[in-house]
Amino acid sequence: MSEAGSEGARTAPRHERSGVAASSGIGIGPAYVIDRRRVHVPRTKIEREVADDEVRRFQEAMRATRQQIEVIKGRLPHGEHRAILKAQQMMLRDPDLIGRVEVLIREELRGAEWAVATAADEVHEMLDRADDDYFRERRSDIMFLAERVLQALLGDHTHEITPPAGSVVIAHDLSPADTAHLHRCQVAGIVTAAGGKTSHSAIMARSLQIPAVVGVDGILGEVMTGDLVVVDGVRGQVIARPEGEELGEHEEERDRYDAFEQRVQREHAFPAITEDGLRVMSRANLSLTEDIELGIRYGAEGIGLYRSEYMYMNRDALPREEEHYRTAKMVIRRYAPYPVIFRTFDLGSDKPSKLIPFSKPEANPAMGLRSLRLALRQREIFLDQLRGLLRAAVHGPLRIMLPLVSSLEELDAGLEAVAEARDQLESAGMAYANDVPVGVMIETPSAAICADLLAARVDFMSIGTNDLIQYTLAVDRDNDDVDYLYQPLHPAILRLIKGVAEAGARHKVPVSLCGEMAADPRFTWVLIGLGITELSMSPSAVPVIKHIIRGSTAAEMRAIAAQVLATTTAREANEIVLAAMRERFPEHLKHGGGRSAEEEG
Amino acid sequence: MSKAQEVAGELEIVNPLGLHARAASKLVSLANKFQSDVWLAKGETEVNAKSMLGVLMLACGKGSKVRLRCAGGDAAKCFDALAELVRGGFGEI
Repeated sequence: MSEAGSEGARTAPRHERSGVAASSGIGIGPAYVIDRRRVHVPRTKIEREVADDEVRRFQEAMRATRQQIEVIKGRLPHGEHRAILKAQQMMLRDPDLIGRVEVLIREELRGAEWAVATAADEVHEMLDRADDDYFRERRSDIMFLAERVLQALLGDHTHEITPPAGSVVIAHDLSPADTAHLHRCQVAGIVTAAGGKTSHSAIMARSLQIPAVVGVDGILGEVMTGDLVVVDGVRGQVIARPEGEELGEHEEERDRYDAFEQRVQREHAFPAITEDGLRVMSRANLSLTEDIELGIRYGAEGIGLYRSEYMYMNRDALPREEEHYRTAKMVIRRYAPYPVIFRTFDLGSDKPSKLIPFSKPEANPAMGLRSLRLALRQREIFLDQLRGLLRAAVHGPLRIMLPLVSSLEELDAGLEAVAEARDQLESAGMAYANDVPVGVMIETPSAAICADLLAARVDFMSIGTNDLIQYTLAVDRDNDDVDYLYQPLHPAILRLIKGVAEAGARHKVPVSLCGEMAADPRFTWVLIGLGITELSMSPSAVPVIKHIIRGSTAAEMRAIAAQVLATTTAREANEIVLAAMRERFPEHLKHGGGRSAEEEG
Repeated sequence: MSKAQEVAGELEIVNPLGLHARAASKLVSLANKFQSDVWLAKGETEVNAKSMLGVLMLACGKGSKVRLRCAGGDAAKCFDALAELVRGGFGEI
């Protein structure tokens, strides 16, 4: 379609926005815009004589709303979602809230609608002051409930969101009840202006497998109900009013994605064994206990990287031994008989916890007091974590991994701390596991180069490619002036990975890889060809990577690795890898990428 | 009803997610099973522990120290039951 031809045919031009990829998949359909801020609240005063009637009208509306939620709850199979709705029902029975509304009606003689809106605003304001994201996000729960009660009061039952099947819902934010309801409506996708990783709408979209992009600032002003919208939950993109042939292309991509996803997911539980018999363990990375089920659903064979530093963020007090014990126990029980690898806290002044004070601001946080160095300095905090982990290991296959080791002395100091924690438990007469495997994360060039020295003292090694690439190439990939230099297939990186794999093989120590490279289908052949036998990645990437491994032979992976090792530039290496993977796994390459972003953060 | 009494004590929120909606609803449900008035305080703020919104408004992350206060005929029983729930991490850990 020529530009002149399209002129005047549309009210608004094509529009593209990006946000947070919250749930992978591609959805296309007409927009169904929910703009809740439009609800009109009549502010009417009442006569004192009718106050009792007004209170009764309010109570009736509360009862009706509880019942509506009961109905929605009854349709839901999943335990987690029902629990969230149950909490909302309790808010509707809240004596303080009910008391406050009744006071506003009886004493200030406000109409029930006005009283409800006022009380909800007061709660909203209180929650606003919370310094924890989770509690601030509960503001949306109370606003959704208030709106339902208002609808019940106004007798507006047509307002229930019932978007037509196949539409894309555009909203400021969505309550868990809304999200569950949308699932029943078979919507094609969800876009919200608000929300982040921990918002209920993101978590629920992921678990209901509806393509979703959240945190798309300003989307409500750009899209009208009926506009065609493409939601790309793989890349975190939203396109409103696509033009010309673009739409057909996106539709084809969606169909291919869906077919691919179905095929790959059908076989998610099969082990990843190459055609010539090499078994590659495919594990998941995990940051939040709330996402614990994702690894199971996507067929992960254990957790290859548990980011324990999240236990130190967004909270008021340090996690103590008991909490480390209970959290670890819960996770290993869920994944047994597969192992869970706990990385001890990886915090630094760029990834801070307000609970661990930093002595001074650092000019260069990436090379500063961080990770294991910080843990050794804050020994009591470190010992608390180690004791908790050693105790939890009684309940299943737990492993401990020490991050950011740059020398043998540092590794020894870390191992010594583990021994001290063991001694403390011994003298306290506590039950603990004596044979917990302890491993080292290889993420500094020095550790990679001296991997043979480290391998002699540990039970396993795990290459953290994100940091290893950054330190080796001296590139901050968040700096867009230099990010073109961030090249995973740089000859230096390939040689380091190969060296670590060989050192591991010589010392009979397994070598895994847990950076974003593990989730990227482009690199699967090269990594396994270089001798890596365990990969840990974002949960939703597991089925894709397993599928590639099952369709390949170790021999062809080694052949590619040898070819790539002979290159002199990353560009050459990329060309070889892309050509090979495009030929054998074009769909995996196209639809499998981007999943590391879903989890990152 | 026996003589009114008051039982109070400090507790630590130990479950990983803190006093979030699911944990709070367990606490509030249990509190409502007793006749006693139940109050929960963090810092200077004290709220009605039979109120879901009150408990949420305290915004207790994991590791928060809270003060539980029960007043009424069944105060001792009520305190013990609630303290057990909190110390046990709301059955989540």
